[in-house]
Parts: sequence; structure tokens; C-alpha cells
Amino acid sequence: MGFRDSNQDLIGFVHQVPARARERILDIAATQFEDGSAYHQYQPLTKRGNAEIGGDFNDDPLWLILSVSAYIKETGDWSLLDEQVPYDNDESKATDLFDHLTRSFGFTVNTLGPHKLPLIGRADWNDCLNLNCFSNNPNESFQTTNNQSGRTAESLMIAGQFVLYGREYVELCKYRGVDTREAEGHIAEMVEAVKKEGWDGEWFLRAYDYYGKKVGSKENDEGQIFIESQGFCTMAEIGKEEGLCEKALDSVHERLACEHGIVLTNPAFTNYVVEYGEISTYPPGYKENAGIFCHNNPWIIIGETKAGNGDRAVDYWKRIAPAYREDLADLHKMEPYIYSQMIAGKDAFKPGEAKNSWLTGTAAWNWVAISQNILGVHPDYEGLRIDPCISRDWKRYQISREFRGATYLIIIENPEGLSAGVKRMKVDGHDIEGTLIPLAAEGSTVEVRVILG
Amino acid sequence: MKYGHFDDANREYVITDPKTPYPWINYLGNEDFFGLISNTAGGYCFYKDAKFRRLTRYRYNNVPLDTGGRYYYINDGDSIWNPGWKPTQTDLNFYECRHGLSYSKFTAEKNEIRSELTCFIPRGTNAEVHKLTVENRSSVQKKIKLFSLAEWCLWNAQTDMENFQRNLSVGEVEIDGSVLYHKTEYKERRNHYAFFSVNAPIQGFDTDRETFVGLYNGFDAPQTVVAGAPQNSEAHGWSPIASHYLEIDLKPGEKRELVFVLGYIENETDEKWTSKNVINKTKAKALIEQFNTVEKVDAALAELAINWKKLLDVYQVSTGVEKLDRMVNIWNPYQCMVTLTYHAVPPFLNRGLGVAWVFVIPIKI
Repeated sequence: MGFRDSNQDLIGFVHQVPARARERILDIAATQFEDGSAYHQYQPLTKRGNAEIGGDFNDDPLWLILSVSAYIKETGDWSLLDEQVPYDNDESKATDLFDHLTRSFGFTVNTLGPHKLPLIGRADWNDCLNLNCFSNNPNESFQTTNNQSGRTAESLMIAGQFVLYGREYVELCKYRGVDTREAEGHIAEMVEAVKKEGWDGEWFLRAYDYYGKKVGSKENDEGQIFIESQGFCTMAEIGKEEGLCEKALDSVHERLACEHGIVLTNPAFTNYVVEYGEISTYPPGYKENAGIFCHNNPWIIIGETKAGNGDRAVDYWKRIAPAYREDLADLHKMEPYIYSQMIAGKDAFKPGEAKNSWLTGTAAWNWVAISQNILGVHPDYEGLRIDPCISRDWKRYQISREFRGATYLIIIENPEGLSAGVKRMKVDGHDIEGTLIPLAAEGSTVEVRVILG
Repeated sequence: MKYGHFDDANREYVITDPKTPYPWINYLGNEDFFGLISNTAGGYCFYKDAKFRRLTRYRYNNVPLDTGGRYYYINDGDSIWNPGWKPTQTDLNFYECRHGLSYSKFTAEKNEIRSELTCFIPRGTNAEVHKLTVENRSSVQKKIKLFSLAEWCLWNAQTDMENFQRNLSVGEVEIDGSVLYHKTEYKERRNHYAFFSVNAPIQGFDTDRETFVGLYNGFDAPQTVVAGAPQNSEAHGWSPIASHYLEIDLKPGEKRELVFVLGYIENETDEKWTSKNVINKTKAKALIEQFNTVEKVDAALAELAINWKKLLDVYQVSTGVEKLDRMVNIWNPYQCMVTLTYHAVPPFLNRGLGVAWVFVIPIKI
């Protein structure tokens, strides 16, 4: 089971089975190394890290901040941070879980490349973008072969991830009374590095390769723009004031979006690129080579909601949501009730054909995108926060949400046909300031009325 | 074209054409015992670990693609057909597969005989339970010959497909009334066996695959089913299976309900045997007794539904947009729970035979 996969799965089920989420977090964190990095895989039965695969997937540590913050927001169970958790399953090296998060954060800080951006290691989430691999032997694994391990290849996806989850870490620090100045300084530096070295003019770069050359730039012949860095940098709202997020999202719309979803890169690779690895092995339009990875589409959807573009967010979601593809069954092929990992992209021989349904982090990320960012019910540290970003033609909807023992009946009205912006909120008939519903007593039912405007 | 429709009230997807563009599957079991099941009842089950503790055999990338599963053959004297259409693929007058939350229900009708097969894994139970109902909807007496079929995996799903110099000699079974036991390697290092039972007296059985199927036949036309006569074979090596044979006489309008249990038992080392070569069946019998009536099975099904309602009630939306509501209220959270459970199951990096994917081998999630 993967370190990053498990942390991401968790954001999809924590509201249903929080106790299992808690157990899972402690298991995962115990496979972290003392420097904050992590075994990429661990065995669920022994709960130990897999030494054959090892670590060096440099996005891994940051996902732990995501899962822990999601758990605390859902449950309010701060005691999780005080749990003693070993490193590399060695009890003698245990610290509290909060310290694990500090080391997750610190790992990125200590693993920067020439442009002060995070080194990618073997790969980040896109484990087919292998910038330190250089394989010419078909019997080698792209994920575990480092023929030319270097300290130059950097990832803009991890940069966005660091800013996004770094801020979450800072929030946790504040609740714990830990000084956040240093951490905030590192985040600010990363934001600057992205703006200075990671912006290509119309979108965010994807990476710098082993030779220090740009990946995902208009300067490239193929693979000029990638989805992952647009997703993470817009979710982290890097350069929002300067209009970078809006530009990046417009570029996604123009270059990556197609009728079946948002492809991973464009143009697709038509040749094997040894310095990029497995991504360029697939035929155009399939898998990482410009296929539609339903896992990362929600990153863009969430980015759109942060920019206030509800119509676009909902439109993107509908393109991949299986119930909306039911009438395309002969093309889509997979179950109309379950997300697939991949849908063939616009460059494919057969665009729209899906593969690999069921066990995919797609489910968790789409859950967050639709239930939180679009429909607008966000679990937060001190209660449910209401902040929808919807299609303008939705006039009214209601949600029943059980949260920390109470039930919230939330009616959201949109008389002016807007996408976002809470004008007024009443809780049990009383107007309240802001968008946070105060926590109610266990067993109680709370009526919430929200008016957008 | 469409191959089915959503039934939101029942939280099901209803497949009405068995020839879906790919096998459309469901996952049974959320605790220690797991099953994957397609819309034609194909698939397999395992205990905790899809590679090392596989109960039933499944051939990946097979031709036809989805072959092997929980098969019931109905020989009504005129035709031979299955409640899930496969493997005989006999034209049915009615076919429906309802994939629900942790259960799948198949309804078929042929020659005015209606069958209903419900497969699920009860909570806290290391077994698949199959409730099979056969009903005579005609105005004449019907004589039905019913054959069940489960093909055992020799526990390790990988070596089961490779190490034939050993595999073909190790298979062992025990037959005790209506319970067919699979005990390969139990006499040495394994502390576990499997069984396939039915809650009614049987009129015959087979436990040797080649005897049941015939070396020159496929699952679509096993020779015993075609002949309408079991051969009461006892497997020694080769490929052990479990097949019950029941003769069912139905008056017009009459219905017969059966419960099959495909289960997994572990025994302590000093409690493995009741006498030489005779396995200790105490736990198996207790498990079978838990589900030996339709009422008990229905109660377990109801318990499953209550649990899912509890899980889904945490977040329910009503937008009036049907497709959105069903994704948010049912299927997306269901997939999240299945992913949680089954990502945790396979060892070995989510790859290869250890994986709880029926047809494909994922590289990343």
C-alpha cells in the first residue's frame, strides 16, 4: 500500500469511519524516516515499510499533513497529534505525531534544488515522470531505477503542495502555540520561487529536468503544459493577486480540457524521451501521456472553485463523473456508477474510453471536490464552514450533514444566480457573522439557512 | 446504448443486458473476507490477502474475459442456463443484475422458471452467502436439476498459476453430507480450510474438475450438467472443485429457497483434526448454522443495509439534479469505502495477482 495513496484515500472516508482513519494515519506515519521522508510503500499486514522500493518520492511526506488535518477537521480529535509514533517502525525513535508533521514540512525545506524549488526525487505524484531514471533497458522499472540520480530535477507540483499543506501545518502550529514565523518564511520563499522560476508566462511549469531544462514550458516541443502543477499551484492560490491562477486555469481550459475531461499534458509525447521516463512510453492520449487521469481533475476543479468559477468547476466534474457518462456506455466501457482511473484523452486513438475502475484515489479527490468545494460544506477545525462554489443556475439545494455528533440541515439559496459568496447565514433562526456554523451539542439537530449574494 | 439504469431508492445499479461493454463489477465484504463479483456472477473470494489466501480460482485476462465465478447451473430438461447468464450464455427470457452496496442480486427467467441469486458477505463473517430461489411460474410441474460450482484455488494465487509440477498432486477434499470441504495443504503447514455448503440434502456431488467439466468441455457445457447426472467424484490432486447436485421438483407456482455458504475456517494447531485425516469441522458447522435458513440470511442482509445507511447518512444532498445526487449520496462514498478497504488488502505493491482487481493490474491509484 502506498504512502501517498493511503493519505489521499483517507480524505474520502474520514467522515464515514473516523476511527479507521485514525488507525491508518498512525500506521502510515510509523513508516516515515527521521528526516521526514518516507517509505513509498508499506505492507498493510506487517505495517512495515517496503525496503525493496525504498523512498525518494519527494511528494510523499507532505500528504501526511493533508490526512492529519482532514482527520482533525472532521473529528476535532486533537489528541491524535500527541500520539507517540515511531520512525521506520523503530519504537525507540518515537516522537509525537505533531513532530512527524514538522519533519514532513522540514523535508521539503531541506530538499530544494538550484531554483529553490523542491527536488522531485524518483518522482512525485506522477510516478511516470521519471526525471532521474534514464532507462534504456526494457526490464527495468521506471519507478525504482536511478541510473543518473541527480540533485537538479525539481517539481512545481511539490512546490504547490508545499505551499498548500505548509499553510495547513502553520494552522496546526498556531493551535498548538508553536511559533510559526520560520515556517511562514519558508512558505513565502516558496511562493516567490514559484513566481520567479516556475511561471512560464501563461501557466505554471511542471518541473526542471536532470539537465536543469524546463519541463512543461512553451519552449518544449511536446508536453508543454501539465495538469498537476496547475492544480496544486492554483489550489495553493500562488500568484492569485497577480492573476497567475486565472491565467493558468484559462490555459488548462484552452489546452488540456476536452469533452471527456482534462488531459494530463499537451501536446502528447510521440517519442520516447529518456530523460522523462515512463510518461513518454505510452501511446499518445493514454495513461500519463495525455490521458485523462480522473484523480487529478479534481485538483483543477478545486482550483476553479478557489477562483470562484463555479460553472467551470461543475462542468469539469460532470465530464468525468460516471453517472453523467452512462449514455456513453459503449465508448466509456467501465461501470457508470464508479469512477475509473483513466479515460483516454483527446490525442488517443479512441478518446473517451475508460480503463481501471474502482480502486483509485479518484474517488477520494472527487468526493472532496464535489462535497466540500462545490457544494460548500467544509469540515474545519472549529466547525462546519459553508462556502459553496456552484453552477449559477442552481437556485436552491439542501444538505444533511452529521458532524461531531450533531446533525446539520443546511439549505442553500441562490436567488441572484451567483456561483459563490455567502451573503447571509442563519443558524436556528439567528443571523450569524461569517461562514462558520458554531459547533452544536451532540445529538442535536441544527437548521442552517444560507443565502448567496 | 444503455445496459441498465440507476435505482436510487434501493441504492442499486440495475444491469438489464448481461453483455455489458466490459464486466461491470461489485465488491463484497468490508472486514476480513472479501469477494469480487461481476454482472454475470464471475470473480473470486479471499480471506484478508488476495495473493496468499485465495479461496477460489480466477484466470486473469481469460478468453472469454470473465470466466470463473459462483456458478449455478439449472438443467430444466429443456435448457441449461445460469441465474447470472454466464457461463452457458443461454438466452434468457429475463435477466437482471442489481449491484447494491456490498451485495449483488441476479434475477433470471427461462422456460417459466425464475431464479434469484443474492450474493453477499455478512458482517463479521468469513464466508460468502448465496441465497438461491427457484420458482416455477408455469402451470405445469417442473423437474429441475441444479448443479453448483466453485473452483478452488490452491491458496496462493500466484503459485496456483505456476507451480504445476507440485499443484497437480496436492489437492485434497473431504465430503460430508451437503458440505464439500477443501483441505489442500491442511495436513502440513496450513491451519485453514474452505468449504462450500447448502442447507438441504444433496443428491450427488463432484469435487474433481475434470470429472465434472470434462477435459474437452468448458464451463459453458460441463459434461455432468449436460448429462444431468453427477459422478460423485472425490478429487485426489489435479484440480479440486465443489459442486453440489440437487433435484428440485416444483409444482405450479411453487418456490424453493436454498442457502449456499462458501466459507473459510482457521483451527488451532492442536485442534486441527477429529481423527486421522478427518478435519475438525466444528467451526464450519457453526458458521453454516448461522445462515441455515432464509430468515437468518435476510436478517444478515438487512443488517448490511442498516450499516450502509449509517455510513451514507453522514452526508446527503438534495439538489434536484438526479445524477449529482446519486453520485454524492451513494456511489462516490461507496467507492471511497471500497477503495479504503481493498487498497489495504493486497500486499506486494498493488501489483500482480496479489491485487484485488479482477481484470487489470494497476500501477498507481
